[in-house]
Amino acid sequence: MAFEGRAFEDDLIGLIPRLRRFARSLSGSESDADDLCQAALERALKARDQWQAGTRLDSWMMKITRNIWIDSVRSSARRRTTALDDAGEIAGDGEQQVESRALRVDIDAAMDRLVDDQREAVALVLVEGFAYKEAAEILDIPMGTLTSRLVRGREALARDLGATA
Amino acid sequence: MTFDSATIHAFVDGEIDLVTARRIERAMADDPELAARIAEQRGLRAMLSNHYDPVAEQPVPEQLIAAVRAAAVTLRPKPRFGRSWAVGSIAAALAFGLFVGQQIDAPGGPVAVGSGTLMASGTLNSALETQLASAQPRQSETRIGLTFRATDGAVCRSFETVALSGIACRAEDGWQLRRTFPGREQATYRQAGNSALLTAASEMMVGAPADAATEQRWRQENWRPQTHAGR
Repeated sequence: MAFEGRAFEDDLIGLIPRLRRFARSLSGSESDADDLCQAALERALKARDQWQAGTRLDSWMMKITRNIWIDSVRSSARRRTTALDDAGEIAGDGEQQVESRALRVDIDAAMDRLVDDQREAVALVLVEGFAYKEAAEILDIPMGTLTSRLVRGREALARDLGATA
Repeated sequence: MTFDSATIHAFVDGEIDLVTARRIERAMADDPELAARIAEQRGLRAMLSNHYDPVAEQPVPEQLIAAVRAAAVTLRPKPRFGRSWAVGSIAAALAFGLFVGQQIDAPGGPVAVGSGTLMASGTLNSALETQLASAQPRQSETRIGLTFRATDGAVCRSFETVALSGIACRAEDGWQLRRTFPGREQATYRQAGNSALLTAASEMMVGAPADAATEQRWRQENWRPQTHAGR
């Protein structure tokens, strides 16, 4: 029991880098993302009995993170902020630094302009690399709903970013 | 042959059956517009990866790891023995309730009742467990004051939150609240300042409060440092 408990904690800690990335793509700001991660980790530890061993812990954590984010957006306690300072905080290696600061802000701003439904679909599939089926399960929506949100979301992004890639 | 956006995206995402994928590949060869739409979507995926992947490569902030470890300490089952309720602790809980009101029974609140005594929980517990007085995160709702050794050998720390302040000492199963006072935003606290807290701390203390280095060392020893004979 104690051993299992420890393993659960270690698995959670192992997921933190991906959670931070996901939280960052949802919230658009580094500081909001870390607050969101912390809240998600705390909720997960409280609700650990609800996680079924053998199912994917990463999907479960993404679902918790997303639900907390949606709750906080809906209660309009906070708004996505696209802060220049935050964008500048992403440390990068040589290749990353080639990417201009302006472009990075553009991506945050373009994500910010998406409606929440589309942003979370894009974040799960295009940023986190979940399969459609897994993403639909995390969001608790039918596959068809997921794919239509994805289509609208990525077309808006492509338009916005002018396919400058 | 035309393909709708959903099909093109599914192709880019590797979410399409093999037969359709082959048809798209063949069509791309003679259809520059189709090829451009696919290139655009591949470019979008690459842009998003370049933008967000570095976040996952950064070192994980201490505070997030601490949140997992600290919460785990509170969640670990309490020992089965020693559960009888001391009259004193009930009296303390009642007195406490006057100050803290409904905050006490909120899940995730700062206080839990365990093994016959009041224990820190939630954010208060994690602050006591991880926060150094010398490096307090600006956003932390708990301020740690003095860290010191009490007459019974336990490491104790004074703290202030909005709802309550006090002195907690590290026992085997967590932080026991030994003294409690109103929080920093309550009128009674503002009138008296934190002198009651300081007086209580000085009465409990053996020797001098811990300096930054000692505080850090005690944290490494989970706040239960070995006592050395003669000290």
